[in-house]
Amino acid sequence: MAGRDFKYRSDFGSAVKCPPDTAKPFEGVLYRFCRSPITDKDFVPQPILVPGYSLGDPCQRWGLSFFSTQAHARAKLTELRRAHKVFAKYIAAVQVSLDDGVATKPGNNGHLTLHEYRHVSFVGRATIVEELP
Amino acid sequence: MKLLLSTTSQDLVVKRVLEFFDFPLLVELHDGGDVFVEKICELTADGEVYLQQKTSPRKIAQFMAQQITFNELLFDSSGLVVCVQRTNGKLVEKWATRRVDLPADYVPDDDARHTPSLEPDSDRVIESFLISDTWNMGWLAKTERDYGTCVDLVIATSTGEPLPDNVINRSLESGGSHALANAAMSIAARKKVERARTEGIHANSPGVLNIDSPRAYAELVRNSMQNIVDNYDKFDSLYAQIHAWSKGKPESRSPFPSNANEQLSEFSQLLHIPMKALFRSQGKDAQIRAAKLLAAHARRLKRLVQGTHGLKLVGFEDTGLMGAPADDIEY
Repeated sequence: MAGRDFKYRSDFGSAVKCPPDTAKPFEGVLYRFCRSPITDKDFVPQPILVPGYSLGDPCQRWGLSFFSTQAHARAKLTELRRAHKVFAKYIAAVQVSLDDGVATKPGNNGHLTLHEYRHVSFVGRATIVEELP
Repeated sequence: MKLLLSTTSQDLVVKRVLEFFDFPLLVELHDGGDVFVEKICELTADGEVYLQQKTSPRKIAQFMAQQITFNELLFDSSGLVVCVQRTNGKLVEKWATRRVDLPADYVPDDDARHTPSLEPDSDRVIESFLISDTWNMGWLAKTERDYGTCVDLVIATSTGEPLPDNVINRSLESGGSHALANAAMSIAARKKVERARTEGIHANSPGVLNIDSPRAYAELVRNSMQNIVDNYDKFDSLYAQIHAWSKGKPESRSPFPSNANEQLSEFSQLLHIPMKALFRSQGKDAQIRAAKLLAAHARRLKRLVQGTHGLKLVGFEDTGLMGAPADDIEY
């Protein structure tokens, strides 16, 4: 992590230990909700996507939500879309490399937060792999 | 139909996030004494569009307990709803429209209810007590006291460390109930846990009493209440046995049983109170002191389950719990 700058470093705030020490470089495929077609807007954190509310964990909100498996992503998106169709019905697979950032350990629901390094873009590397009914 | 509304008035103040994933999905807003909910519906190039509806704290409590659907929370019988557009956090447009004119994606599925896993991570939780149509301030105070004391005892005993001598001894002198209340309060305060505190009383009929509580301990209290409902015969039998040999003055007690320890162990497990926290010594007197404290805690829990004071914790409205009201049980 040393020497790598995070994309939203200046937004974390000095009082916050961010990303947490538990976040580590990751290599492999991760899954994320997206729209079709995929654009830059599918890979922006909460304060930029929804600037109306400054709520939530001050560090986590500057990371991107991913899931460790497609099944976990599908389960969460299905649950969310029953009431919140603000989430589009697509799931993208993204090949993440060690140079992209650091990721927290997935929780029981497969969810993890990835903090991107500066100059990283996932748009060209994301592919829609599933559309929910 | 789209009826533009004024945007010159001050925007509402966010009180609580009810559902969150990546960003707030459903929030509770206040404007003076009025309560609203707001649900994000669309992300556009120009900002976000929200549905906004005036509601009541009681309705929010029922929604959070999954007793009413999303649509019952968001829409009233008028069929009208307010939409709000914000750009960079600023209110830019507000309009009234009919539910039938909303884009389909704005409206939740008919059977969609609150998803507890979407509640934001927090070490606090609002526990809501529904107030009956006929109520008085005394009932509110008694419910607050019973609930607060139950949470306090769970905090005070959570580490399993024995309660102080003076506390346990007082249960012999002044009865378990008073000792419990005083002890739990002072010990919980020392443990640097923010104790349960009343967040708001919304007494408009029918109303709600909201108590802001430490989540981990509130869950234990809830679980022990559920244990009472699910195992009522066992609860009732253990209470009767333990109370019989520990109540009041020595001359009024039934003979001390040989299996007192087993009874206490079973009862403390049912009530989620670590038994070792109730003992500083061994022997008959120590067992009687522990029994008094546990019995006093059990009576409070039972009153909360039964809604003896006219207020029922959401989720425990219709327990059908049989047996004498806790108030009629001898102290």
